[in-house]
Amino acid sequence: MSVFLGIDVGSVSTNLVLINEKNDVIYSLYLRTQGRPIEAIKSGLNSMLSYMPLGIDVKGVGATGSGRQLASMIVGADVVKNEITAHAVAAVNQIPNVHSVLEIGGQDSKIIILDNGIVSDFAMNTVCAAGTGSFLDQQAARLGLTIQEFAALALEAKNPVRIAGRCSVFAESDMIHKQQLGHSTSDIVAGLCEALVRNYLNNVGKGKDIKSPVIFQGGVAANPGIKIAFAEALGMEIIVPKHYSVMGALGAAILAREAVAHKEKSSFLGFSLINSDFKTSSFECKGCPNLCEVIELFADNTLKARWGDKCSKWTDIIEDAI
Amino acid sequence: MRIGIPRALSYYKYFPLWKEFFTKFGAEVVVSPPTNKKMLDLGSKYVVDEICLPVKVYFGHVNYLKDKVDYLFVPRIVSVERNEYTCPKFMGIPDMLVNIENLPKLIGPTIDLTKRDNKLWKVVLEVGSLFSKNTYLILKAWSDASMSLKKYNQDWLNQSFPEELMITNIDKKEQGVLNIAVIGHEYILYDKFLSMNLLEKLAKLKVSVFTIEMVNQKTINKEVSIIPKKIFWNFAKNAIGAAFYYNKMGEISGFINISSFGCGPDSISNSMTVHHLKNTQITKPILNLTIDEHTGEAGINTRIEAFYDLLKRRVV
Repeated sequence: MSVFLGIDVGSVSTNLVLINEKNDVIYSLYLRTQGRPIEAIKSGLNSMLSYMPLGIDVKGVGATGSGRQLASMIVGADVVKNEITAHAVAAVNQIPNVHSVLEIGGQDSKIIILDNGIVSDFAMNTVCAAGTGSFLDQQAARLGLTIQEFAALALEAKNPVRIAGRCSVFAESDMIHKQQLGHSTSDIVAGLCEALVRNYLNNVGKGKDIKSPVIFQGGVAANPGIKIAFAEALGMEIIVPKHYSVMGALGAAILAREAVAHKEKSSFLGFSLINSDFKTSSFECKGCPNLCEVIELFADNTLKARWGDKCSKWTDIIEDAI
Repeated sequence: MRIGIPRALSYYKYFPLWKEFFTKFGAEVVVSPPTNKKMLDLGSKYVVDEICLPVKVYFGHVNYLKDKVDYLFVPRIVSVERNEYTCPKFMGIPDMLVNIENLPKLIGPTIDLTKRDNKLWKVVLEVGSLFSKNTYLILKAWSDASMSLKKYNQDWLNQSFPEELMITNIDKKEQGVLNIAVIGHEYILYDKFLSMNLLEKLAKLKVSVFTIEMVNQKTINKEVSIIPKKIFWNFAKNAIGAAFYYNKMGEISGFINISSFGCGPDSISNSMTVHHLKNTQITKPILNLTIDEHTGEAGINTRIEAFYDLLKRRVV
């Protein structure tokens, strides 16, 4: 069977999806990146390999997410696309007439507005990552809860408290005050969900024309408290698609299928790469006062790629050598 | 005599004027090199906290120049048009500089044209008196200098970037695949470090860029006149006027707003622009980019790429 692989290396999670020729998901995996993207990709491929029935043939690979360059160099991707495009492609694949996509990931949040399946507007959070998944993670950890317990708690709330959501530092101190006043944890958690949604709609969703059908995706969509808060704030039904946590990878897989249609052979390096030993190192280039941090990727002690230099003098040397 | 001019803030608007003026008196004009990380680090060290990135960088440039020149030219530009102001930080620059130790002598004239009675020639004579007692010579130098500035501005009005800025972009004669209006202060946009090389990134994608400076002042004033209240922040007024104008231009397919985190005037002008553009019949996508001290370019690259994809799918 011919399959297409999508890899989404995000700040919090690394996701892999396999689709068939009809864009049906036949395998998906959600892993924590834990600050080690290379290991996450390798262990993801390893789990995929042990699951895959014999006779599967990877015909194309797509990479997306903030670590997409790194992923593409390690696995050999046919297409490297930004998260917005990948998410939009996947959303249309799941709900063909979707109008608005709310996406909250580990470190960024975005809104995508579509018009007949084509992105007509989008926005991403600016410099600040307030109210994204990593903040929820931190708060759950601070309360001594797993993120799953944290999510479930919001549903038990009877009277959500109001929490300042504009800045995660303020939100945290506000939460501590509310705890010390004696509010129940579930009310605080639900209040936090509402604050995040308020902040999202004021910030990322500012001036955007949100219309039904609305999809909510990204890792944070696992949290039903946020879904309910969105539904209340917007007065609309919110759809969380089946593959909500791996939509970026799904989009990348679909884009890979489209990309290899014009190519003779996939650039995929094969599953043997799992056995390669990847190492990265970095150095500060002293060539000019910009002091760029240049990163080097080694596979089995051979230099494979470099990036991070503004002037591309290091990148060029390696590209010439290969 | 060596006069240092920091390559930051008002440099991008007025540099040819100042250079020509000082050179006429035989002074050597020393400009700091393009912004780099070291300058930003040094700037952040001396500047008051909670200030915008372009001002931090200005301090880095001053720091670079301080022991290489006899004088530093750091004008206090309060206003360049009647009843309009530049920006609170522009007004306070010479006062904030006292934080830097061992500064050379400052040439810091106050340029304030808010009132009808405030005449620019008085400032010109004040600065010129440092070099010459001959009023005629000073005014002649000024008039020659003004010609240089005019030529510089004319390059923009001819839809190209002045040579001094060292910007490579799509040749306007050779049509790009997309036309995007990029709205942002020149001291951000033309500083490759601050803008993370936005203009060249767009050029690589074969995008033709249209900026605020390419719209003439008359058009800008006419465009903003539809707003009931006068916008007294001069830079904000230019940004809004240019955006309104580009909105009507059919060949422009989208907008990129670039501004610095914590910019007061921009927080108003960006919202006003977006609000107005949404209320017209024409709907062109807008991408907002906020820059600050982060040097990772992944975030900005993702946004540019995605915006490009969006526009391309819409246009084709």
